[in-house]
Amino acid sequence: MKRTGRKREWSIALFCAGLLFFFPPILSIFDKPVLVFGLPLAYIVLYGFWALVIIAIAYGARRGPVVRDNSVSRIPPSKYKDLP
Amino acid sequence: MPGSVVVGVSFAYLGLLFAIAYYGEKRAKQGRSLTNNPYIYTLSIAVYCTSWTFYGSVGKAAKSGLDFLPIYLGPTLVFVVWSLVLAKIIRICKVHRITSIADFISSRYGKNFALGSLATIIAVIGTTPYISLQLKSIATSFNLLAGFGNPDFPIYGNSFGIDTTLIVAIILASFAILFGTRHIEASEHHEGLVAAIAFESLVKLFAFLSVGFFVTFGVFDGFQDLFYKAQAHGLSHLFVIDDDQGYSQWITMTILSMAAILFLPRQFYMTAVENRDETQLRTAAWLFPLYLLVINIFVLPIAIGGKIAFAGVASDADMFVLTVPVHFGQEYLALFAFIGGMSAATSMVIVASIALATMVCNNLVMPLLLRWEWVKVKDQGDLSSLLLAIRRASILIVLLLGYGYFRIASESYSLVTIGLVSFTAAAQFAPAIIGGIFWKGGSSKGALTGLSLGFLVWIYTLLLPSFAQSGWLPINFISDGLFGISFLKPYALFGLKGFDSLSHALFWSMLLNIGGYVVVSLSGKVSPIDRIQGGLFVDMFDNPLGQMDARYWQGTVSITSLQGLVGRFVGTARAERDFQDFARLQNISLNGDDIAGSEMLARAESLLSGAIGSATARVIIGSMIKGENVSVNEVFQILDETTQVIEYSRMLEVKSRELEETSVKLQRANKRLQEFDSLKDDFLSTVSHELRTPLTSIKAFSEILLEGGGVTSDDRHQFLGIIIKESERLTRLIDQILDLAKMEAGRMDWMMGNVDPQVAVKDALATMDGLIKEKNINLILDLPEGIPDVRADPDQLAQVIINVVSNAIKFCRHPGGLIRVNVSEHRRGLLVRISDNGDGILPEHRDFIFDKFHQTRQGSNEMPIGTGLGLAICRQIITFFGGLIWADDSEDGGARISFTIPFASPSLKLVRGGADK
Repeated sequence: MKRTGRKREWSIALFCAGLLFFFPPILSIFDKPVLVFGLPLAYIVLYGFWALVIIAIAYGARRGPVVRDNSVSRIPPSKYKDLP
Repeated sequence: MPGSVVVGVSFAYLGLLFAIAYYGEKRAKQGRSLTNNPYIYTLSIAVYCTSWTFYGSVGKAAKSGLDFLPIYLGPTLVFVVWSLVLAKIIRICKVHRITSIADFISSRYGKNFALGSLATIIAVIGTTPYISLQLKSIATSFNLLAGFGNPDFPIYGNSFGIDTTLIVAIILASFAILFGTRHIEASEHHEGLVAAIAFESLVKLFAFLSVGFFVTFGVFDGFQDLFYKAQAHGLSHLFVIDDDQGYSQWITMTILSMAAILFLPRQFYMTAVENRDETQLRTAAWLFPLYLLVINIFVLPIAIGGKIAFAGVASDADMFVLTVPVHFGQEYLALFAFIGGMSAATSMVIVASIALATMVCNNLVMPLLLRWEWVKVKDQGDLSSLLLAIRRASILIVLLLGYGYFRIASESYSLVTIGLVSFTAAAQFAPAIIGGIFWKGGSSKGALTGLSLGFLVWIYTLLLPSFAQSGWLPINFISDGLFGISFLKPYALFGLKGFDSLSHALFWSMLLNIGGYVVVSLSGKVSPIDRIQGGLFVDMFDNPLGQMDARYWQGTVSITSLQGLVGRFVGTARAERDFQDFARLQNISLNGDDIAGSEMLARAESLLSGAIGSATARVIIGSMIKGENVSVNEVFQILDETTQVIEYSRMLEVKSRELEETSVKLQRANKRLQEFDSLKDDFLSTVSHELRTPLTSIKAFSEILLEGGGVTSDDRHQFLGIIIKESERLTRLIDQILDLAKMEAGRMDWMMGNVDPQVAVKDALATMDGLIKEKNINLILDLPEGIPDVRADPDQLAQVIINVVSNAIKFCRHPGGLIRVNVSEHRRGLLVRISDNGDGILPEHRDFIFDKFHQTRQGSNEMPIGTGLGLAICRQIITFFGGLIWADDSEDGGARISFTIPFASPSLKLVRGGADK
């Protein structure tokens, strides 16, 4: 993934993906009382995906060129747009 | 384990907590902050993990498997969109100096008092079950550990003849009072408190992990062994989420926990209010979910370990974290687990009670006191001690409420169920806040309606049933509904069945909350103050700090009284220090009798906001300035908006006026350009016409001569004479055009000097002698002696005379032509008049004869030969000499051309420009 400067869109997409994955019906696919490698399937999948989400947040939250601070001193565009 | 050991260790732990908090405060005072880093910040947010997590999750997992997880997945998902929601809330809190969640809602909806107090009431009542949950867990774990193996140990342990839980509540209250309300904080943070909470988060994490390690690797042989044994014991129903009850509760819990991580009063307080630096959120965004993940790894293993260890024995699954180590003889591990559980519970209780006390003080009690005028702002006296007293009393009351609920209701519920009741109450804040920061149209009436409806539904569907189940209300309230109306059954409101009680309550409360908020907001008019605050909140990242509104404070209050006012709330010494800092920063002198400037007033309001909340601060400053009460607040807000609008429109007006002026100038310039353009066109067409006339005759006669046939010698002679004459005319014309062009362009080389008019006139007329005689014209010269010198170019002066005289000759075509040349002295200098008795000039032509190419065409007379440039050149020359030239009638019936030239005497030197050579 490149630095696209569209982290907000990405974060919303990840949020939706999380909701989709942690909610039925996808949830019910792996919600079975079976052991895989000696661990419950749902336990592995839920914690695994949870960890992936955390990694994704950390990846998105690292300091990048997109810093919010530039918005502090910006003049509200609506106020001055009519002035030449 | 002897109770005295447990009590001793507990007190030692609490003492350590005091020490850490004290050290944190001390470091902060020295300016070496202990808590200002993202890891401490993350740990302080981990106050989210209470004894619910520590004890309750295991209990839940032992009953229904992975069902406990949504409480941690929800917050993780919220932290996915941290930059959208959390960053905005934190920035708003910083800019508006928000002190609590009730302050946030009140501030967003026009600093509305009713809304702030309603939010406070919801927060207090909603948190009460949660606090009771913590007290219950501490009491239960204490009794369990101290009384293990002693079946006679009472469920409500009696220490020193008093209920243990009450003692715990009072100890926690005193801790909260000591570190949350030491003094009124106007701009700083509770560093000691944050340090202690972060430490507690570490303790509970390690305690829980220790128990988890022991169970997984001590009792069992790793995860696989544990899960295989669980399968063998028929516990594989714990491996799944869906245990024959569908996913409705899973979804409900996820949604609730998403709201809880943002809007639980203590969570809001720790995440937003105590945040030191927005950039710390960057780390917390992933580290906090990681904390949640790690602390949850061993929940299921411990639950399974407990189920297997206590198979067939009645045991409280909520206490497996304690009882499993004890069961396997690990008393010290159990003691550590007890400390961990206590740290989880105490951190929640302390932070929650401080957050709630701040709300009660700032958004409920103080506004009421001010409104009822029990506290007079203008009176003297220190108010900071009053504020502190209110907060301390509030902390005590909040804890006693929790204790009361514990005695009434918590016996019949598990930890998680009690906690979820609180979560549902906190979720009621979601529409007003999320709507408030993303939708400008939300109004205070809408928020008030939504919050009230949601809160009432919550009371009816969750709180009252919990009273009924514990016998405080008749139990048939649940089974038959209010007054026996089945329509009003609290767990099946309006006949809605098939949901668990939690999902049911969430559905109805959110339906009415969101519905009320949206519908009332849309149908009512948004008041100006709502709109202003809405704009500030929604456009937080677009506004320059949103502080523009403070600029407009204008008042007539002296610095001394302003400082006194602030001092009464935050303490005199603090106020003095802060004012001096501010004065140094702004580079102004702090003269007590001076009128406080608007920056000073804004600073004072800001200081007060940190101490008593934004709404109250504004009222107080407003009343101080104007001596009026609440409405001043709104008036100023509206003023702010109009002032801005006026300012912008004035700027616009100025700009448009400038624009108008420029456009007028432009039009003028354009008109002149057009004139010049048409002049140039005229000039070109005239010039080409004038050139073509002689050329045409030259060409015609040349052709005749070339053909040669039948042309006599006389004819040839005559033709050649014409050709030469026309060529001369052409040359003259071109010379004149060049001269004129030079003069007009200012590139003429003038040989200015003192000229004797007598010599000049005589010389000029001498050159004309031949022509005059040829035409048989009588020239009369009147040239007196002793006329002073004029300043002129002699050649050009001669040119003027020649041009004018030859012009006169041209028009004297009749026999007996007469030309008079009259030279005299005039007050303007030398005056020369040249008159004739020729055709004369019609009065309407007099203004034009000096224009280029103007040739008078009068009557049927044959056009006199001329270039039309002679008089134009004369005017150029005379004007350059500083004189005038004009035309009128001569007494002889013809025309008269007169011109003046200034004398060379210094006093009359009027020569403009030109190089004196």
